[in-house]
Amino acid sequence: MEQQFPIGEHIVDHLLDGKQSASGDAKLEEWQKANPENINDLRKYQKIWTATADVSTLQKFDSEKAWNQVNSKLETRKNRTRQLKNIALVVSGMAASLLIFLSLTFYTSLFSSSEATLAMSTTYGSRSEVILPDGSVVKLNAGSTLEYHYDQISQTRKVDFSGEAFFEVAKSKKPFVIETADGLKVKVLGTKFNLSAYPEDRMAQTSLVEGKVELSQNGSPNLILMPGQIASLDKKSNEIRYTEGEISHITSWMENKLYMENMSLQEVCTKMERWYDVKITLSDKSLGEKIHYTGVLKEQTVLDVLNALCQLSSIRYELKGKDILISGR
Amino acid sequence: MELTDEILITGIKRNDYSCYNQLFVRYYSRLCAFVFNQTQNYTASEDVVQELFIRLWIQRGRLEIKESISGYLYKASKNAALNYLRAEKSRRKSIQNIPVQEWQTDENLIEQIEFSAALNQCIGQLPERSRDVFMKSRFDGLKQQEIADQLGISVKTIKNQIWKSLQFLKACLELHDAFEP
Repeated sequence: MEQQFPIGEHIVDHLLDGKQSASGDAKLEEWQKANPENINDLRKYQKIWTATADVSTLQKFDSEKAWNQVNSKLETRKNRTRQLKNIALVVSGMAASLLIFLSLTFYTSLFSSSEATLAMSTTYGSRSEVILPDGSVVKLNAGSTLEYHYDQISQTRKVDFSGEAFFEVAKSKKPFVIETADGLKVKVLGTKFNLSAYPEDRMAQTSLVEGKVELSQNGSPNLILMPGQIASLDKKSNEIRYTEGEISHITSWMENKLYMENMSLQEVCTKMERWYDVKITLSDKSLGEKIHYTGVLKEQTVLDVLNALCQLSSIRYELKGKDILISGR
Repeated sequence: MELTDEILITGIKRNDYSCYNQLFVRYYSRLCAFVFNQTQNYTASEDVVQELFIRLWIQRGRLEIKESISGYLYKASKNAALNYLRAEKSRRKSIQNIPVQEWQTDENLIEQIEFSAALNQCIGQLPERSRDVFMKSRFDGLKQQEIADQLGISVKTIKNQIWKSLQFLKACLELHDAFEP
C-alpha cells in the first residue's frame, strides 16, 4: 500500500535517528496504534535499514573478478597434472614392454579423469556466458551446447558445438578448433567471431569480427575469413561460400535485438521459439514464406514481439500457455 | 530463467562449466561475507571460498549432497574457515594469540546474509539517483544537509527519495518472500 509522505517523513527521521522504539514521536505512535499492520511495516523498514549495512560488505566481494581468479587457478592445477602425466610417459618409454603397457594403461586412466570434457549448454529461453579454462569467453545463445577439451597429443583446444555462440578465443599457440555436427570445422588461433550452427537450420554461418579463421568441411576446399566477412555452409550442397550481411546485425542477439532484413515469418518464428522457449504453429504453412519483415525488434517479452509483428503484417495470434498459433487476418 | 541450485549441481556433475559458473556467481559474495564474519580478513575470506569452489569442481564426479545446496555450501565454508583459522593460529602462535571462537549464531548469521543478498538485488533495481541517495545516507554517515549540498537538492527532497526507496525495497523484498525466515 502506498503510504502518504507525511508519515513517511516521520519514519525516515526515526530510522536516521537510529532509535529502536517509536516513543517520543507522537505522530508515529499514533500511526502505529491505528493499524496493527503498521507495527509490522515499521519493523520491516527497520530491518531493511539495518541490513543495508551488510550490503556494503557483500558488495566488497566481486564475483566476476573472483571467477577469473578461480579459472586461472583451475588451469594451473591442470597443467600440474599434465606434467605428472608426461613423467609417467617418459618412465614407460624406458621400461620393459610389459611396463610400458602398464604405465600406458595408467596414463590413459589419468588422461580420461583429469582431461575430462567441459560441457556447457543453454536451454530454449536462456542464455549464458562462460570463460573457458584457457581464458576464452563464450556467449551462448538459447538452445546451444558446447563441449571443450584440451587434446594433449595434438596440443589442440577442441570444441564440439551446436547452436549459436559468440566466441572470443584467447590468444595461444595451441589451435582452437570447433567442429559442428554437420562436419563444419572452424580453426582459429585468437579471434572474435559469431558461429550459428543449429542442427535444424539449412545453413551454418560464421561471421568474423576480429583476427582470422579457417573454415573447412570434408571434401570442400578451405576458406579463409578476414574481419567483416561472413561465410555460410549450405548443408544440402555441402558448399562453403562467402555471404553478404552486416556483422553487427548478426551479433545483435547479445543485446537482445533482432535485426530483420527481409526475414521470413518462418525464420522469425524459429528464432522466437529458441529465445522465448515457446512453440509456434502457423495455421497455414505457406504463410511462413509469404510474409517478410525488415526492421529491428528490441526484445522485451514474447507478447511485445508478437504484437509488433501483428502491426507490421496482417497476421493475428492466439496464445495458450507456451503454444502460439499464428494465422492470417 | 533462473535455474534451481539442484539443477546446477546436476549440471556440474555432468561437467557443465556454465552451471558451475552460475552457482559460483550466485553464492560467492554471500559465502565470502559469511566467512568474513569470522576471519575479519577480506583476502583470506576470498581465498577460502575460492578454494572451496575449486575443490567442488575437481571433485564434481564424487559430489554427494544430501541436504540443501545452500546449507551444504555454508557448512563447507564454515569448515574451511575454521581450518584456515586453526592454521593461522598455529602459524602466529609466537606472535599473538588469536582465539578460534565457536560459531554460535550460524542460523541467524546465514539468515541475515541471505536477507542482505536479497536486499542487494533489490537495491540494484532502484534508479541510480535514488540508490545513490539511499546508500549515501545509510553508509557514508553523511548528514542530510551534506548530501543535500552535494547533490544540490533540498533535505525535504532527500527524505522523500529515501521514503520512496524504502517503499520500493519493502515491496521488492515481500515479492521475494525475504521477510519470512
